Amino acid sequence: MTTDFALATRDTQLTSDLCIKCNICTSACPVAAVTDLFPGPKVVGPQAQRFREPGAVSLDHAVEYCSGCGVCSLVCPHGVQIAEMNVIAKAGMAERDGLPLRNRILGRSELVGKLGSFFAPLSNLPIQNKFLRGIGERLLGISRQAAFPRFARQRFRTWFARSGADRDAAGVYKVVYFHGCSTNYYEPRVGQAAVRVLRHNGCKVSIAEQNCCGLPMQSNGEFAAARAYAEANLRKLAPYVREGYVIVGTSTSCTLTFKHEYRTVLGIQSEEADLVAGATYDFFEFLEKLDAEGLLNTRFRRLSHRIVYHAPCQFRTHAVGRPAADLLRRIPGATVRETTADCCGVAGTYGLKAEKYQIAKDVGRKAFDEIRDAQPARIACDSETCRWWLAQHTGLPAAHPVEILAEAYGL
Amino acid sequence: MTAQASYDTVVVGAGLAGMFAGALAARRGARTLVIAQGVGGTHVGPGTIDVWGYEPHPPTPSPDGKSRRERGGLATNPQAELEKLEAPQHPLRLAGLPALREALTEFQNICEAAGYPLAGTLDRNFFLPTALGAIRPACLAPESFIAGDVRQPGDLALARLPGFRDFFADLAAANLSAAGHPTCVVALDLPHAPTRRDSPGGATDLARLFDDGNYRAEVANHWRDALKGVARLGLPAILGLESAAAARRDLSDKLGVGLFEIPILPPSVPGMRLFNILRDAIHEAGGRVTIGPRVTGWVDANAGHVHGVIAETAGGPRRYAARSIILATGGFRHGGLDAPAKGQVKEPVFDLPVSTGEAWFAPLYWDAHPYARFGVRVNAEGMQPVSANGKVIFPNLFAIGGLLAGADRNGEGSREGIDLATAWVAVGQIPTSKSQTPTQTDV
Repeated sequence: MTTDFALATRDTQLTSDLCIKCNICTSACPVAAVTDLFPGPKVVGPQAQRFREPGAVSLDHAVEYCSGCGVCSLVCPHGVQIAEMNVIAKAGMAERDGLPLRNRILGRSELVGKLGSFFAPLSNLPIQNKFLRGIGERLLGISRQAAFPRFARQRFRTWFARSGADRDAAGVYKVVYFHGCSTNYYEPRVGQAAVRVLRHNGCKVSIAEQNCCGLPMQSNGEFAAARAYAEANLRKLAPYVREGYVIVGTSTSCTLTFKHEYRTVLGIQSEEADLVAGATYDFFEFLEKLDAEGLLNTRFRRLSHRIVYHAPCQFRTHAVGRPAADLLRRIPGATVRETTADCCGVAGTYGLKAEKYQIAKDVGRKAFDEIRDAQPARIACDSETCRWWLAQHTGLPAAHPVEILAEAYGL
Repeated sequence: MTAQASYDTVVVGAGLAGMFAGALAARRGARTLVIAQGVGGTHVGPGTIDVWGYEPHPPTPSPDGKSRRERGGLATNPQAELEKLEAPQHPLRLAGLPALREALTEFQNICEAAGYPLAGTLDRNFFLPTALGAIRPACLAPESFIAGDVRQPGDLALARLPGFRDFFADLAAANLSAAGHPTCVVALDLPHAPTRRDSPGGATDLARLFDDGNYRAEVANHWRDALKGVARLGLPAILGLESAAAARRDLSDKLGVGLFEIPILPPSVPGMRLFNILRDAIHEAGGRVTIGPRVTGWVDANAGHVHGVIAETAGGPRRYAARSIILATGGFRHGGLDAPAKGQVKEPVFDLPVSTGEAWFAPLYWDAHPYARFGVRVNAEGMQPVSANGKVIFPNLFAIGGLLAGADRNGEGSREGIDLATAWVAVGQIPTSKSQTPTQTDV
């Protein structure tokens, strides 16, 4: 660990001093509730932090079992950044002990996406092949049971380039859309719906050159590589913000990374980081803003549809309410129920790891049960990894809420 | 500056006062947002509704010659104490007895509907054992507490759960016995007790286990023989989180023993139950609860009213407009009052004037400390904060709960009574929009 890194993340780590050990975080932790392997956020967070300040590496490998869902930081009444502290501790251990190849693969969603979509549909075969997945589990520790999405044959960016220019060149808002890896390589339909919905509401839409947001690397312990992605994205996005664009994304973990992780976890302190964080909106957060300004088109077709909305843990950390559920409710004929579960379990790449697969499944049980009980036509959820996980474990289709909204607009 | 979203009512603070106000407002049809930095006082409280617990005690001279105010004896009848209360600025006097009574009834209705009935009436306190074996008066208590009332017939027994760190039955039993309530201890093993790796699990872990009927059946078989001859058994408050009332009844029936719970160290399982009930009530009525961001006021000083609040979200400030704002941020311990420097007291959200005094502390720790009465002064009509000369500061701003001046909530045992009554009065003042669409439609 370099001195710079320790310094840059010091403010986050020092919030351990605000902890009064009330254990509210432990009682809210979805992982601690289902496994004895994780002693809880207080123990591995602010309590352990006192043994590794300043910049010392954690002595306690139990922090590996933190899924990073962030519920602890939200419920803490005293402002301790527990989840953030845990990610930093994990990275410190990775630097000391080295990382398994598995984590390096799971962290490289951009590289995997590039290769996979280049060779699609051939590249889908090993992912669906039970024998190869069994080998993958034994060699790498990637759970053979966890569902992976299929690579798309046409990338989102290719579609966008062919989708034609905006009708209204000025636009009520200039939006630079951040699609992220999942939309580009796996689910271009999410980005297509997003662009159509933005244009339908009079926004001028651009897409910037962009990299992976870096979150998968950050959560898998590769801070240096994540920081390189972060710097690249900041360099590419900041000029748009200076020209008056807002950054809008459909992958809620990517937008959270711009807003929060770059500064709080990776310790990037720069004017560009503040600029990008301040101009970033998660998709429905942006639509809510349009609505408050009287700019949102609310003429919807009837959509007799039973929907269960699950607010992903990473969306909760945005701390902006549930604008997607609020808007879907305004579609005539749509009935929307929300899950009360704090986390579906998968938490990005956590549930994909063989030793954590069962824990993640146990965490998700409440969400799975609530969804199955409601028997919706579709699950709506703003995070791709949650959608894939929920669909796998409930057997029900899952969509980004913007896909449903696009249908309600008749787009 | 434009708003991110607009609400009829924004409640700041997610303790008992804020959550109850949120539930009441949402049920009245107001588009409601409860927003708070972290969860509130429910998780550190005992889960009872204390209205007035102690008789007034005349000032007595302290060893150094200064006047002291000790805590008085246990009050048997909260209503009678309130009728005698000579403190016109006390929040319960401002709210008034009728509002208090209605608030308690409504709170009981909400809990009853959630399958977690609270027993009690305003004219009688329960005398419940604490985890240390003292006696604590409570006006309303969950059904699962009341068999512990020391005035009920039958000797008490307390469960010693080996390995569970947060309840020392022997200490509690010794203290209760010494106070004239004969209490014995029964050692009861928990079958496959949860652990946190190398240490025993906490109350929340156990409560989740007791939600499970199969586990209760296993416990009952395990404990039956050891409980022969026991009339009523006290356990730490761990008997279920999601289905607590049913869990306690079921285990009690299976064992043929009256069971009662004793609140223990935070995080409080009975407090979490109340929080969850109110959260669900808010959601069912179409309201929102956002836990996480720190909040400051959004004030238009020229217009003479409050626009709403500014939430420090992950990306930066987001403005939420509201027709009415209810401030329920608590006192010093909950961040509603701040003492940035010696002698200074600030209210951090709207920078409201705080009523203070020269003296902060009484000579002895357990005495009534003057600082406990510091807080925001409000009017009786609507819990609107007022300046030192009694003038309403913002017509659409209301303050409730532990933030208010004039009460020593611990010393009086009046905490939850103040929370519920002041929330009731404030919500009674807020206008609701007529033409709003429901935000929550259940399948």
